[in-house]
Amino acid sequence: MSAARERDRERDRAAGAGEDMALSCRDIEVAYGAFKAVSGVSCDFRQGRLYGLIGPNGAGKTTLMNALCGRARLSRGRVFLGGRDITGLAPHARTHAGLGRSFQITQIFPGMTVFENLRLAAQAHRYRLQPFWRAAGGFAAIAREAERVLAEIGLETFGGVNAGNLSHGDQRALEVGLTLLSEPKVLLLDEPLAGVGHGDADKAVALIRRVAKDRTVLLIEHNMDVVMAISDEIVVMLGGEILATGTPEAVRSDPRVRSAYLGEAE
Amino acid sequence: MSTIVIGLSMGLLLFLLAAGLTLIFGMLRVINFAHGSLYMLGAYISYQVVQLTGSFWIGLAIAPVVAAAIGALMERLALRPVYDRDHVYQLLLTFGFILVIEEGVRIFWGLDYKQVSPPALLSQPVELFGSSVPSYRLFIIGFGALVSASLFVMLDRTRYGMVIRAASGDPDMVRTLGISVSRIRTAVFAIGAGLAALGGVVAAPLLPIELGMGFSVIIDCFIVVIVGGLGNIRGAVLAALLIGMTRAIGYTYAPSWVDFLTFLLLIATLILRPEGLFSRKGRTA
Amino acid sequence: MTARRSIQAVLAMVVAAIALAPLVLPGDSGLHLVNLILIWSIFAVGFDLVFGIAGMLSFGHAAMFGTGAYALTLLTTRMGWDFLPALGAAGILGGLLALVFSFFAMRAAGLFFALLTLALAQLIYILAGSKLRDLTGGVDGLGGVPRPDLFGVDFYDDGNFYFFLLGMFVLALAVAGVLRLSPFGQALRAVKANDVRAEQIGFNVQRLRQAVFAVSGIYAGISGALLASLIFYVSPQMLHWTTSGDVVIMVLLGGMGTLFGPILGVALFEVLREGLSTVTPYWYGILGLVFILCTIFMPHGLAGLAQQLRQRFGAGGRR
Repeated sequence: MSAARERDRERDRAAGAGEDMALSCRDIEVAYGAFKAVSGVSCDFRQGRLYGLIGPNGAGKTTLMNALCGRARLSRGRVFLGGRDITGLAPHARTHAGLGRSFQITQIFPGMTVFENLRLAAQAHRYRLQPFWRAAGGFAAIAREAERVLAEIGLETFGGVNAGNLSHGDQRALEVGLTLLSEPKVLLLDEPLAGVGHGDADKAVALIRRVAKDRTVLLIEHNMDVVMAISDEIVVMLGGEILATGTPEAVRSDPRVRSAYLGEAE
Repeated sequence: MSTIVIGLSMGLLLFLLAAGLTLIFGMLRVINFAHGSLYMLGAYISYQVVQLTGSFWIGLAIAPVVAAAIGALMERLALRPVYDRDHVYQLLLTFGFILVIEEGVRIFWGLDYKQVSPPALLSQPVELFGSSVPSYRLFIIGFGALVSASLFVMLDRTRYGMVIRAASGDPDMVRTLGISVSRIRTAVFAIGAGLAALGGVVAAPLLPIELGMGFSVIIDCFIVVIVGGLGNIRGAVLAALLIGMTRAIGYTYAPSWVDFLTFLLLIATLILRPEGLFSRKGRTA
Repeated sequence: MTARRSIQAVLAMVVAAIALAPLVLPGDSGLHLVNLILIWSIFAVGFDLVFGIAGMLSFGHAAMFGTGAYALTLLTTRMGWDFLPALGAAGILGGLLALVFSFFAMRAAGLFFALLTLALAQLIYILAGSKLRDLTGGVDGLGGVPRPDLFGVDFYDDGNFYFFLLGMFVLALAVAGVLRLSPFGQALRAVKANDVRAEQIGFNVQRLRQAVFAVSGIYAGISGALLASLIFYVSPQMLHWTTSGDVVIMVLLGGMGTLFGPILGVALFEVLREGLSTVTPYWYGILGLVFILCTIFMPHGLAGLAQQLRQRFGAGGRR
């Protein structure tokens, strides 16, 4: 059993799931009954680059993200983070390993203040075993972390506000802040601009650019102008498979993409 | 032979109960804790009707109707105001109804055991494949199969069943089609309550009618529902039969362990297939 | 924020008034009632860590409660242990049983957790009444449960035992208070508020749930042992599902998710039990009705009611 697994690892290394890649997956498949939402996807995300993940609705983009961060069960294939096989890890363990994730539907802690939201993320990152012997307010280090990110996402003045009462754009920013506190090397952002008003969109794009500076980012986004403008590379999905990858220019002029995706959109 | 008959009859009886529970859960996302109490109420009403009229069959007709009316009231007065809250509150409410129904039964019928004898027509054992089996057990099998079959036909084939299935999948969509979802909810809760009472009437001649009977049966129902796969009505059929057979075999070979066998099944299910023994993967409800 | 603080202060004072009543009440009037309230409050405060803070509804806490009672009884009467180590063992056994429960019950999600805890507790109840009858005394239960033997004080006097219970109550309340505010408690609130996000920022959600379930099992075990000691008797009734139901009712009546609310719920429950059961034999059904009405109209219990009154009153005063 373990010998077989060892052999698998060898083969994966040979197949190029290399240490220089921030995040890779090899031949992964997510099946719901007979329906394969992601089917045989292999791809590599290099250190420090921003990848735009595009494709029509139902192409499997979110499912691919779920597979990478451990929320969807793989029926086949392996996932590597910085060369380390994380296939068997639970989502929280992948977070600790350096993989952050934001969601299409905003996932924050409503009913708590913005600061409390961030402090929770800070303590989740810092402690494997949550301290229980004195009040959370007494832990200065996690409070400092929370304050730092509060400033980074531009919500300094909203620390005491109930997170549920923030504007939608600010909630999206808070969500990015929550993922930043786990000091991710790789960030998966699922439509961070969805539903964000025009005024806030520029702010949000600036925030994405800022967090992408020293990280690998995989971004799902439907606004083509934004994706093409900020991505280093584009990954196009269709029917649970990867249709094409390349620079924005290359993808834009790829006839397969044009017919399958852009053609459909126009 | 008689073990098989007993097992099948227990299984079908359990299914009648589990079906009501599953139906309500599928449509309303409410786990009805008071389901066992309604079953008990069915048995007591059956007793009362037999006392008054001497006929088992009248009880079989009346008890489900009474229980359905009570169920409709429960849904209308208590559950409806709390649908948009956390599901926990609905569970808590049905728990409150256990206390109220049990107390009502105690006030009406007191603490003594009651008994109902099987109808005269079914009181004699019959010969089946060379062994003697109680004819009432055979009646339960036939009746249970008939009710289950009509339930499936109703759900799968009729317009009414189609609306129920649609409403449990996407209530907003059904609402926009101009169908009253709240009326469907009341109806489904009433049907579930009626099925519970029907089970109580059918079970009444088999066991002493007493206050604790609702609770022991609700535990069995929960086990059926979990072993069968949550909200999966076809899984519930198989799980109910499996548990009925397990109990019947247990009574024959290890009577003092019968109660534990079902728990063993439950625990084995949780370890091996927490999504339910008979659920197909990736398919919900 | 200050409004919430002042509500907290009022609730704390009410709780203190209840707990300290025997000091000013003449003779032994109300003493037994307060002793019962102190013990059940330990149970309820521990239960609310699971229900109010972590958002898990358990209908199986009778198992831990009764196990604690039997553990204390058997260890002292049959094994010759002293009271305090036996009390500690009762808590540990309650916690361990809770761990076992959580291992199985957490395999099903959401509300089915409640069903599974109920079923598992029923398994313990049946076991205690049948296979373990030699140990548990069957339906007759076991008598002769001792009280502590400390500092030469006669704890067999209810007035003296009150001080022991008061000490345990204060300790339990203090520990729960710190737990709730600690990072551990905050993490549990996060899990309740949004478990997907909690897991995704790196909380081990299952582990946290298991841990708090075990802690509440310790509370249940200790309070069960104390109840057995108060009434010198333990019976399978303590393992019965109605005991699990009682603690749910208490916490909901008082206000789940608050530190002092569950204690108010216990007090109301015990006063109702005391008051109604002398007037009518049907008090449990009336309690059921009260419970149903509270669930519909007062979902945040007495503590929530206090909050609402404060808001209405405060707003009216300012106008």
